Amino acid sequence: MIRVHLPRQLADELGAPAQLTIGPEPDVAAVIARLEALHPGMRQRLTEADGNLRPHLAVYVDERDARRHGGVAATVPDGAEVWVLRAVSGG
Amino acid sequence: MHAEDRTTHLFVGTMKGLFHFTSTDRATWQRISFDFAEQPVYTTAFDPSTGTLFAGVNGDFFGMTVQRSQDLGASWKATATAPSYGADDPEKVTRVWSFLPSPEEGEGVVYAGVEASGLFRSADGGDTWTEVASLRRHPTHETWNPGNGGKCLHTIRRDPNDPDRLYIAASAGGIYRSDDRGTSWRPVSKGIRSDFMPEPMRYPESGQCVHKFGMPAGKAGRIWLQNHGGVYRSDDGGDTWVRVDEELPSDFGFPVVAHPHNPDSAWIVPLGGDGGRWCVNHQLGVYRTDNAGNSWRSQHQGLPDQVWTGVLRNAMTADREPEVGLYFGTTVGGVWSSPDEGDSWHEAARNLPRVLSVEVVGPRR
Repeated sequence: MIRVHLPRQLADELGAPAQLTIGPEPDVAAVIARLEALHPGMRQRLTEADGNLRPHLAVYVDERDARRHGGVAATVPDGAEVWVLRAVSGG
Repeated sequence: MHAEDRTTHLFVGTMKGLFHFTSTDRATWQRISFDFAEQPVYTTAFDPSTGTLFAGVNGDFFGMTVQRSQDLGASWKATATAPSYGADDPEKVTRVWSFLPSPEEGEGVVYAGVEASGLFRSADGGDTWTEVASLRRHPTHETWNPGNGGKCLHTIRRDPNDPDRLYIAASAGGIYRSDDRGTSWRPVSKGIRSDFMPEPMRYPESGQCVHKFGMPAGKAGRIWLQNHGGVYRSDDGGDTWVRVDEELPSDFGFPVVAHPHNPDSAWIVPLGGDGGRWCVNHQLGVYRTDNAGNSWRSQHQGLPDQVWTGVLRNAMTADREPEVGLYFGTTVGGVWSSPDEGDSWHEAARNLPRVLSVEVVGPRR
């Protein structure tokens, strides 16, 4: 099982819980696909048209920055905690 | 809406969300709601044929969404998808700048203008979008470049006198016309100046930084246009242009609003060109013509002086009442209304975030 933590703004807009548990998925792309199936619109908000993560988002798999480990191809071990975070940006 | 309802709704898009105000006299205002916190709202548009209000919400973190309301902003829901170029496209859609609800083409038809400049069409009220690819495929597309605000298709209009004829403008890109509902396009920018080009190249076929244009009903072919340097009028659908800014204190500005009932009248907000792009002489105010641009007069009764602010291209509009109401928002978060065509001004709000867009839904829609 994988525990996913979502930003409050995103969860609220799509009617999703801020934390949810999903079945095992091999990588971040598959996690996003699962989130999209559960809450349509999630893929559009997390990834760009080319499938890569949006530039002002950070995704951590346990304590690893997914962007530094293959982006959406980053592996997600069973039992992982996946954190979707707004990156440090804005004004 | 009930026939006796005299409520005017004002939707003010800012860098940090969308504010909704109402008034029954267009002079005193009540704030009703605030939505889309932290997210820039570059445009809102109302479709009177369905009662649908669209908002372009350009969030930094989760990308752009098209939001839809069926109850004048009391509740919002994102459309199923947003405009997007293909995965292999060298350009990305990052913001939506403009909508054109188009019941003339069928129920649920709406166009969206986006950044990087392109045009999309939806036939299902915004749930799915198809690019009007003929526009970006035009050979002159290579002349398009980003202005200071981005590479944006900020204005879409249907000719009020010819429902088959569409216009768009992009910064920088120019103004384009389609005579066949978007199937094909051609630039109608010849004669509009490009200050930012070398002297011999200042009147190109395309690539101009058109800031805004407006089209009145009642006079076929008339277009008002505020360029990045130069206020222009066309009386032949953009085939030719004449400058009408000789009497103005500055030829630079962003918005232009066509009078909804009198084709010879229009409003602009001149800004000091490259000297800060603030209201001329630091006096907040609009300029109005009633003779097709031959002369202009300042309208600033009730507006402050000693201001260091301006009005952006999507931040001014008019309603359709017999005595037209005008509305604008400033780059320092002020919102002003005039119930008498600019003769007097009233403060609707102050100290909002930077105002990007203003849409009015008046009693007469």
